[in-house]
Amino acid sequence: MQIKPSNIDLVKVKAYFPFIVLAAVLFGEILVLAFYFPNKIFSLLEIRVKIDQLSGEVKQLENAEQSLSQVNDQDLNSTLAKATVALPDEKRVTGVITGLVNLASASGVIVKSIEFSPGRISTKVGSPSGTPVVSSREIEIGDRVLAVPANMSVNSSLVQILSYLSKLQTSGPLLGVTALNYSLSGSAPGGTISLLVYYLPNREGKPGWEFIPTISPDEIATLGKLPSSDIFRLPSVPH
Amino acid sequence: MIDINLLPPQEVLSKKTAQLRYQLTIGATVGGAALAIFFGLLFSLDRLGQNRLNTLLAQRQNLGARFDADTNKLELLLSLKDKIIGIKKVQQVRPDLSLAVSKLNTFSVDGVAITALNIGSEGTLVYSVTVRDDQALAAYLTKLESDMGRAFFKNLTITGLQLGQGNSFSFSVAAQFDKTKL
Repeated sequence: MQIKPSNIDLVKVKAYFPFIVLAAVLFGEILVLAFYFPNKIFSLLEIRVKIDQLSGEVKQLENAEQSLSQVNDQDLNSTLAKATVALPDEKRVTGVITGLVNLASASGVIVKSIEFSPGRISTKVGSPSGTPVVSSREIEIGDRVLAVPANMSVNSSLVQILSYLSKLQTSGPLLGVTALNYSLSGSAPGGTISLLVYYLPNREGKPGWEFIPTISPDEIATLGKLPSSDIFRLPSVPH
Repeated sequence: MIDINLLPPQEVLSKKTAQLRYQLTIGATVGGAALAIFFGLLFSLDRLGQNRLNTLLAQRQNLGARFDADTNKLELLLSLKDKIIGIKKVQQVRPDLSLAVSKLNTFSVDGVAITALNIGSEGTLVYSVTVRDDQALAAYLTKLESDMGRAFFKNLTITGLQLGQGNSFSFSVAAQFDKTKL
């Protein structure tokens, strides 16, 4: 029998076929190991990071919600109202003028004029010229607190002015008397009182839940020491 | 011992080929099985991770929505906290001239009147005084010179002593006071 060359090739192919298949399988496995698994592992690691991150956020949110649920709404509003009288959110010039004049009347002191941010706004008491608006000339005190300087021209005896100073120092809003110039000479005894009206602008933007403040008993005690005043108009609590 | 291969060369080759095929088969099978196990493991982990992620996302969304409803409360609480910090700050730094003036008042004696007063929170004090007679003057100066006076007034100078109507006198006092000791 004569063996043809094509028959020889077929025999060879048949002999090597299992090797080719096995080599292809091994090659495929190596390809999978080289490309698919690293990507899959990387994707699993990403999921793990996301899970950790989300778990942290969920825990923070749960804690924040729990902390907030413990705050009594009524207590919060009343405490904030008192704190807002002491340190208003805005430059409530109108309310301060009214309070200063009423307090002066209670001390027998006549207020001739009040000048806020000296050189900018002058309000003659008794002849209101619309709602005064204070321009930006406030002083930075620290911890975001600002102070508007004001000058008051008053007529009265020194004793009455001294009584007035004491009342200013213990009034509801936090005021700081920086100077007093008094003179008996002239048509009527009197002088000028320089003071600072403090306020704290509200924070801008929506608060995040990352930080839930707590109010310590010491801080509540600080507020408890503040004088209560019905002479100064109570600023509304922000809602 | 010496191996002597008595098999014909074709058979030796065939045996080597079979051995190689066997090794390749074992390798491919073991590799495939390992890959299958590894693949299954990764797939399970992936499913578990995705499920956990979806649960957490839903939980966060739910909590976030509930928290948004409490934003107003949080704003009030933050505002209160800020105010307490601010109030403490103001209480630390604000000048209190009423104390200085009250202290000045404790030096008052009968027959002495302050006619002009300039006082500043930085601790400067200038005032003019009229006294009824020399006895009142002596009493007032004695008080200023007392331990209490020395504790309050620093660099005290009296200027412009003048004789007024009758037995009265007038003069000016300039001094500095230690605001920390009020």
